[in-house]
Amino acid sequence: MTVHEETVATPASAFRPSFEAFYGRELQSVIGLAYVLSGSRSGAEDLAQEAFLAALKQWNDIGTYDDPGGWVRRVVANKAVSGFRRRAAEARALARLGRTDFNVPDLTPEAVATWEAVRRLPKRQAQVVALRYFDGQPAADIARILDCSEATVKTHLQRAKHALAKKLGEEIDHEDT
Amino acid sequence: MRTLEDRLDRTSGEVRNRIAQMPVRPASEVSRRLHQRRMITMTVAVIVVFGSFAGTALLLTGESGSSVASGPAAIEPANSDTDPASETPTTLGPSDAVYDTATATAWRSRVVAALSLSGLPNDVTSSYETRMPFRSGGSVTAVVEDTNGHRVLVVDLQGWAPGEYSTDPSWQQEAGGSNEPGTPIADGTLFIADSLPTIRSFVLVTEGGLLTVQAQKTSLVSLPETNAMVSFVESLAPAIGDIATVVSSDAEATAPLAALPRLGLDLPGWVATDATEEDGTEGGFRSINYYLPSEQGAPVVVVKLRIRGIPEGSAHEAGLWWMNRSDFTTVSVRGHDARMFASDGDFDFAWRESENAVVTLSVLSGLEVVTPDRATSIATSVINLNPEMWQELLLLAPSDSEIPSSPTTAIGDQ
Repeated sequence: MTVHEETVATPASAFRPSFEAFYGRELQSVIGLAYVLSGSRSGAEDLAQEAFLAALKQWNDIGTYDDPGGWVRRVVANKAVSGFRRRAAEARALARLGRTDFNVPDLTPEAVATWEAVRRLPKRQAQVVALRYFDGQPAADIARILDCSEATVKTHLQRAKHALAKKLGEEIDHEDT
Repeated sequence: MRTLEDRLDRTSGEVRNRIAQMPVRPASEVSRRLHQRRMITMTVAVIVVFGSFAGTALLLTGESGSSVASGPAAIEPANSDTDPASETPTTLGPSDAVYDTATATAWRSRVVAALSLSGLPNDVTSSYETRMPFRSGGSVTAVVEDTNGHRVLVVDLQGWAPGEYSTDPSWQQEAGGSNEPGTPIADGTLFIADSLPTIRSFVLVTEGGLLTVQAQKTSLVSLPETNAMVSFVESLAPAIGDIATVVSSDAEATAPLAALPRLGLDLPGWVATDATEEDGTEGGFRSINYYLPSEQGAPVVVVKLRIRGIPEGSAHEAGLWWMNRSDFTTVSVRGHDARMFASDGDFDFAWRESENAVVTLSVLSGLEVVTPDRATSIATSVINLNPEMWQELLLLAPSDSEIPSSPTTAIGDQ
């Protein structure tokens, strides 16, 4: 095991074309998921890249999955909520590097407040909200990604929505599940 | 009725749209500049895409419908497709922008003078330098804002890195961010870049530096006419060489950890993804990640450099347990011995040249299966440090820690 806790396996060259297509197809939405859960702009890209790298190293197996994107999303969802303590520091460092091209452009105050509130939720609730609303995943797929039951997903989602509604001063649409 | 679900959907769409603006892989330094400019353009486009508001207080004026530059211009009415309720104030300069430095003040004066000569309002509201210590160039910016605090004119000058400037027309066109050939003027080549109905941009590529002038329509301010902006650029051009030289030298003089960015940037095709710096009671920390992308942008090889100052008794010591494993190979990288740990295509190098600091470098296999020789070769390209640079990195330890005066390696003795 390296210091980066990478899952290890030798990449198989025969699978590279399909991996690259998968990478190109999924990258932006996975970065977005990492971003809304971590609040870290450049860190989100690094996080996504680490997840894809881990997928590549097990691509012989993961490439055969029905939904390899779900595997990557699970890695990102777990890593993103495990704590980025470096948001301010990274912004400063990137600016010193003259590196603004990977930054997510500034969001409206409403979007910033919304996703900050999501990140303050308990870990599982935040993951469920991000996967449901940002990533557009149905409850059954969220359950597969997070390795829990669909009923658990719905419970987390309802609790999260009640907490967010109170925090953000919004009404809940009870028909939306 | 607006609901929480609507809000989550709406803000999700916003994040997705913004991320879609991010380039996957800048191919070159010039591309990086272009991406920066396009980001500004697209951000502004998002801001003004909403509805409309007939503004009355105009800061910028222009002569509507004329193709000939001529003196103070008439006011072009603000278009009615912006909604001030939806308009988001633009942000200030970069987080490390240094306002009102001598260079920024000098640039402000030159911009004010050129604005006056062109018949444009000259009330510059702020000016700042953005230093790029890990590059050779810096930038200096002057900004005009409307009364709502929205940027309506940004005048930015970037210095070139040594050897970066070229007279090659295709290079200049790329630097100018234009699909069309530029127009030669007395001081350089002028390009019209990223023109949108709500934005008017001009880029002047000169030997002295890269001038970008961008006017943005807001609910209060309409765009200046093209001829007025051309006149402004021509008036400002003679100042570029003097200011750009100062900007570049300022950036060099203030470069902290000047060696750090050498990582990867000197290797063709490598791209930085992430950088962090922290200074605290547990010592300083610097990190930077790079990767070599494939044509599709997937990681071919990933490199992560970490430099950490470690005061005595620091909790960080516990995180370095792996350095004491016995399954390492000692390799010499530019005269600095490192422990190299291998694990199924990934390699970790560790240098510990003092009790108070540790440098680690990870070379991770992506599409390319990295060999030990290849990893060492990459490390050699990354760790391109002379003794002074190395010492500077090790100074990340707290100030009361002792740093050896010469970077002699004794990692095997620890």
